[in-house]
Amino acid sequence: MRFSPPALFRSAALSGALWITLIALVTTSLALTVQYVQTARLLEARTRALVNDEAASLVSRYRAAGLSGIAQAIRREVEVPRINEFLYLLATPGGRPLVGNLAEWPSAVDHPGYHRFETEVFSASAPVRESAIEARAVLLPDGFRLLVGNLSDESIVLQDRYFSALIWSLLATGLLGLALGFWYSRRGLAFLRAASDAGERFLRGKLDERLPAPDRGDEYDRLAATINRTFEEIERLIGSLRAATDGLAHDLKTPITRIRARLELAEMQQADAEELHAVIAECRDDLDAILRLILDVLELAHAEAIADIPRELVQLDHLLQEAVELYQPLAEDRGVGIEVTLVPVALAGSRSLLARMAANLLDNAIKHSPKGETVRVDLTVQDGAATLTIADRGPGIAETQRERALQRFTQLDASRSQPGSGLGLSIVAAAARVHNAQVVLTDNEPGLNVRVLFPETETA
Amino acid sequence: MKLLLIEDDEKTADYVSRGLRELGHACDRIGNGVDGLAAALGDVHDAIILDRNLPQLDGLAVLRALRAQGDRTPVLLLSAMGQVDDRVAGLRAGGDDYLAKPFSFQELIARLEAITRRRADDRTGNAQIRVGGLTLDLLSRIASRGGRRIELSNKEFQLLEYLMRHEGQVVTRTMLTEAIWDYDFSPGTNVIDVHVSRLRSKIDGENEPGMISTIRGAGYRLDAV
Repeated sequence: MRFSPPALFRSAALSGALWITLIALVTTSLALTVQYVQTARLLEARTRALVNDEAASLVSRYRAAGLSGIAQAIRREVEVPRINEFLYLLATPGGRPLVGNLAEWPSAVDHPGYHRFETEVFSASAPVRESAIEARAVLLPDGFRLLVGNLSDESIVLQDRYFSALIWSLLATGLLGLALGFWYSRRGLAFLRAASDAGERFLRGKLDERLPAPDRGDEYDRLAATINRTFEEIERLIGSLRAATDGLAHDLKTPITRIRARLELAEMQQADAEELHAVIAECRDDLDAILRLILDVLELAHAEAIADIPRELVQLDHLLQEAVELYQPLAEDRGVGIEVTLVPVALAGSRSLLARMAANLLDNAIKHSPKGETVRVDLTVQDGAATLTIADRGPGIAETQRERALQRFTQLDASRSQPGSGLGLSIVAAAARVHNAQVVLTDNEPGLNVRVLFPETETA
Repeated sequence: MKLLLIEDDEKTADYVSRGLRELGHACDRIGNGVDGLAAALGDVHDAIILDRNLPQLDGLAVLRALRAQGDRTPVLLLSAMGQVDDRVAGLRAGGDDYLAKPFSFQELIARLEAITRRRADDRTGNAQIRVGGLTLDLLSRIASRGGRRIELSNKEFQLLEYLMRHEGQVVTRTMLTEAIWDYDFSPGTNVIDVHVSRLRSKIDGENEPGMISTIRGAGYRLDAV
């Protein structure tokens, strides 16, 4: 088995939290360090100014009163405790101490200028202690050395504080950042995990799987809505595919069985040439019906699969007029009248699909109309939206079956005896969907009333 | 006729070429676009049956190359799915007709005959078409048979014109709906049959022999009688 770290460590939530924490840590340390460096510089400058000042006054003392003068001044300073404690040492050119409060010349100070070192200090105000000294060494004209220094304990305190502040704030930032980052990342990742899980279940065949979409209106919600719509569309397509396959199999079985039976019968009866001819003709009719059905299925599949058809400006009233002219003779032969009321409507769409829609609706209406009745074709416009109505006086479709009639391969029982692939209304529905139109079936009392409601935007 | 069939699907090619040979046509078979183009350019054919989806070079590319070379051989395109957009693209590329699979062999034959005949027709820009005693004046839009004037609706006139232009050939119902109603599907039931039988009753007067015969399983044919 392959090694895999525990889920927690693989999760993007943890790595997200770690990144956030790291950024917080770096920022905090940077801020503290900058502040520390600035404060330390300020303190150092202040100490140096004090030391300079003191050294300068001693040097001028030396110039005025010589070696004994400066020694006296130093002795006096050392004896009187002051708030600002200075360190003094006057030494021979060889480094032997003459006067001051340092026991010996510090080995670290080997040339004139500023020095920083640590040493033990005796002072009036405090017991012996190790202290940091900021000092200036001066070489007097006759070779004697002068060292003036000041305790720079403040900078040590500062340094200590800096380090402890750094540790505490880093600790706090780290923990807080980790916690907050983990919480924040988890929120997004919980969604991703839910989406992945839902996707997995969907793939395994649970087609009604949907993502919860709490109505927060953020990006996660939008993504959830998109994924859900995709799932819905896939479910719908698979559903219609299933129904189509079942329906197709059913509708093909009948004529194929019939063809087979006829051929077998002809073989058994040793039919003569004329009888064989009749059998061939009958078989050919059935095969034509099968071919027609297959073409219809392909057409429907195409209409359902396309999201964006090539659109042209279609004069809907002309298209309907043509379709009516095509069906007029058929209607007359059947003793059915067609009453047409059209207003000019142009819309952007697929001429082919719209013609198919009109032809199918007319075909259905005429086929189901009893002799002597009239089929009504109306095209109206209201508020810029066109409505096509085709109504017949036939048996109609029961209210409970209307929904089903628009789906694929549902030849309703009432029309079972009538010819047709049963795809007529499905193709109408698919063509309507492509044009963002709605198909509404109502009772024509008696008969079927089919209304195709085109949206306003589709009407030019 | 000498025909060239460029089709990669073995079964379709078998079925089409066998049928064509049985009808007495010569048929060369090629299974890919590149060799197909070479064969089309290298030999003279009466018509080419060209599948749209071919290996190496697709059907439309073959057709464009052929037309770019100035070859005007009639081409009947075949495709798996006959939708308007495909159809328009095919005709625009220089195809003479378009047939969607699945198709019946009768349909294929009728269309082949139509496109090979059409060429002969195109050259005579006559304003009158005559078949036997039947005359169609395209300018005045008057139809007559043996001096008897026939009143026709607009669509009936177009229907008759189409049948007369394809005199002696079988014309299928789909060809008629495509040519006269510009529908790329066949309308249901027997609408076309009704139109044809009306036309028939108008052009055949009493005691006149019928000019339009129904060919079972295929379509119609208009003959001079």
